[in-house]
Amino acid sequence: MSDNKPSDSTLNSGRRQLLIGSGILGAAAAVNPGMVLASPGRGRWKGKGRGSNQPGLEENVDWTVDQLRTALDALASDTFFSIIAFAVPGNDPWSEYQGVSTAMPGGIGTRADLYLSGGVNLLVPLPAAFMQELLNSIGNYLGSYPMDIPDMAAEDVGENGEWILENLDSSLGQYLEGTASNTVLIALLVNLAATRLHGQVDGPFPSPFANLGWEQKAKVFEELESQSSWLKRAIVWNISNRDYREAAPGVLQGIISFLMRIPGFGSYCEFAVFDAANRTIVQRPLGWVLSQYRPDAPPLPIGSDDFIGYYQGRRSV
Amino acid sequence: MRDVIIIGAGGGGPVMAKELAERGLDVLVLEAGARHADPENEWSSLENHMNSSLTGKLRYGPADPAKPAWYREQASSGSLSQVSGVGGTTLHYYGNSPRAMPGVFSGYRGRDRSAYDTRHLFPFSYDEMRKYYEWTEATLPVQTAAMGTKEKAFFDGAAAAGLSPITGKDITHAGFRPQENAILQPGGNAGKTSDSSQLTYPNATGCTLCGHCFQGCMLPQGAPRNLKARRSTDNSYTPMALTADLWKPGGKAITLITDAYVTRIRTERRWGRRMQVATGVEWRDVNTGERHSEDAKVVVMAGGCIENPRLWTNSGLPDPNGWVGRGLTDHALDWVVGVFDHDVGGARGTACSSRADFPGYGSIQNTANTPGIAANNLTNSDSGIRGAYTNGLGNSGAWDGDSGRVYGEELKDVMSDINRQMSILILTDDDVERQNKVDVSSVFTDEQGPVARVNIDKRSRSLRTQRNRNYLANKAAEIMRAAGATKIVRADWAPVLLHLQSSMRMGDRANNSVLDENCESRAVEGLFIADHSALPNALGGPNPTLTSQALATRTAEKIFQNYFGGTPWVGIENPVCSIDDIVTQAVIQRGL
Repeated sequence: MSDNKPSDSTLNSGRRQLLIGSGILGAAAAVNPGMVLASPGRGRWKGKGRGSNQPGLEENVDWTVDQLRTALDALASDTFFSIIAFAVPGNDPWSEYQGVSTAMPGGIGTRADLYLSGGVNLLVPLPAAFMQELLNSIGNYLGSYPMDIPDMAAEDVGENGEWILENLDSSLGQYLEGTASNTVLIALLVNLAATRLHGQVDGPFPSPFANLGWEQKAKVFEELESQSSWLKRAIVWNISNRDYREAAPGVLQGIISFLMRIPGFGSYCEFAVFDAANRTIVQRPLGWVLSQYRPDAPPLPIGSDDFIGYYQGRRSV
Repeated sequence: MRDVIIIGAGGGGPVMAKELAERGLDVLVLEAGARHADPENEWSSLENHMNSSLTGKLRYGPADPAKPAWYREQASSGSLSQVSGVGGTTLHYYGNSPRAMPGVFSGYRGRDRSAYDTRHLFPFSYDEMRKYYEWTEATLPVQTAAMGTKEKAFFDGAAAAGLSPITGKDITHAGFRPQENAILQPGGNAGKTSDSSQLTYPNATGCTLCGHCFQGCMLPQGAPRNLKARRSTDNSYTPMALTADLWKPGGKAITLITDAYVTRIRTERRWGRRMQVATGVEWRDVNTGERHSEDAKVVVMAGGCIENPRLWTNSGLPDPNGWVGRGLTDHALDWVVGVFDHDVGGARGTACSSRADFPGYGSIQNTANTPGIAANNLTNSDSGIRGAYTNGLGNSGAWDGDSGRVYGEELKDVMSDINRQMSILILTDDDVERQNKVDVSSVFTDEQGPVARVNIDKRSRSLRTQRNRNYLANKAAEIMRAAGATKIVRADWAPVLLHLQSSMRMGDRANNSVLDENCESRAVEGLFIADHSALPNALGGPNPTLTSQALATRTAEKIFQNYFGGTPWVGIENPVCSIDDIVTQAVIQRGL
């Protein structure tokens, strides 16, 4: 694919790929459907913003950074729900849609999504310039090695999809100059990886990753973890700052490792029912119910009767 | 001017502080993290509250929970599990206090002498080390651990797998044993009831088998600080150091300043001296940002394997042979879990009271886990997700299926009854390798300067390290199979940087070590190291704290002899135990 964009678009193909493949466009349309004009479309993005027939709106479409932030936060939230459902499935919509669910609640029931997203934000103090360079590098990489996204994909959200896309690109630049969160960056990367691997996927969620089956999600993480991941190449594709270029792979690897490990901890610890003022729990954590830990708690005991004796009666050696 | 300034109050610094305070020296200890002065009113037994590496009480970060943790850049995958504050990483250790394998010391003549990291031995003999072990074991004190449900299941499995018990403190052959733990064993009602009303001091003494070592030991409730069960240095050496004038004739209490992040070691060149000489330190109050400076005759670094190289580099100290920060070992930890159709006490009793040792390969130990940590440990891997992908690894062995993360439905199934899990931690005898290192970041800086950057590439470890790790994982699986496990999984962890050693290693050769045989810097006179970073190797696999503490005791003796004209005391005097009545009275009198 030489240049994956409509001939009249001012947006370069890499940025188009970035904005569509990461789910930004879909999320923006879902969060602010009033800005989208109906189009015949091709059946994608159903229920995510199509349907406005208000005439004259096209001229008024102008995404503010705040609107974009709302859309990105929604996208990140959806993405983190689906990551948790992948790791610790339950009886929630994200688990059910991925085709692996359980009768009992899973990580979403314990709000491990909040735990994970909060942790990602605290994990690495990513400088804004670093984040911008990462995304620019990915955009440039996608310009040379595009994903399987149709030329007119932006119109799937509505007639003025192309216009929205260009506005979003401008807003994204401003957003990244401010206090962009790690959570959003990671959600974009996970969704990009999902789109790169599986193309555009129909589904009820704004996040492309959330619309995948469990095995498809596993493939995404296989790609993200791979030593030869395209994303690892893309993030250093043309970062001008040498220090950033050297640091980027390790930082990304660390975040992905965290992303895969922490859903377990967040799902089974006391996070959701912790009473900070009294340093105790207000009720038995769901994770303790799921693991049959401490059936009588609360209150929390300060010892057990597990003492049997000393091996072979030896008190010392 | 102080006699000695010690940087860091973790596992090693307080040992040095207590030993020198007992000799009457004027010692200042600077600790970047929290004081943790009143655990019963500050802590809980809850794993996120205590153990979150980002927001927990026991994290590597400032005392103020509203401030973010201190970041370290990682150049390769893995997670850090270190703690700042008085007690350091002993705040969440299990008290396991085995001695090192004799084969990692110079002069070892056993038939298996070629089975160890022979290029990086201790520069002195095991026989010389033994008296420092004995002194430290008596001071803490170290005691043989009691047995509960999971220990019995482990011992039965180990015996059924053909192993024999080890019955001494020295590791003489492959076998299993109760842990030698720096934990006061149960007394009174402890271990006999879960009724909290019967478990306060003095009705209960020692370990109450609460199962929360990892969350920090504050029990028995009501016990004086030095009589809390687990002998983390906040409960053992630090109270002794702070009261040395009260329990030792001629002793002098140390000065302890917390929230004090040392940012520079000052040195000067003196006429006629070939080397630079350490003259003092500068530190930053992490609450106010104020800068301070103080002089000393001797400076001791005890900030750990990551912070010591950072401070060294940020201070502009010389690195003539290029070994500062290099040779980091981590025991290449791994995790093997068995699922049983009956209760094996997976989350009950003590945190870790049984182990098996395999000279030339390393050690394994059975642990109890709270649910979040159990799930965390099952979902950490370098081998992808079991049944889905292997990330180019996915070892097979005596466990079931390929190694990898337990995820999705399988995770919920394995986690469905935590007491039917048996979890075994793999402690590999891993090689010192130059490429595994700590230096400073080019991108990330905090108020203290450029942060540390850690690089330990699991996939590039030596063949011996990888062989040892696989051998131990197979042994763990064989023990659990013999114990009756119906399913066994191996995680193949990505590096968990918990047992860090040897990044500022001592050695017998000047071309591959930072420290000489006395743990004094080869490049800066009057600058010593007294923590795991000074260890010359990975000890053959056993947990490093006791050995670091014994080595710190030896180093304290060398400092006292070489810089203050003193005489040695280990093997000559009798050590005062940290739970001796005279210490208890001193701790109460001082209001600790």
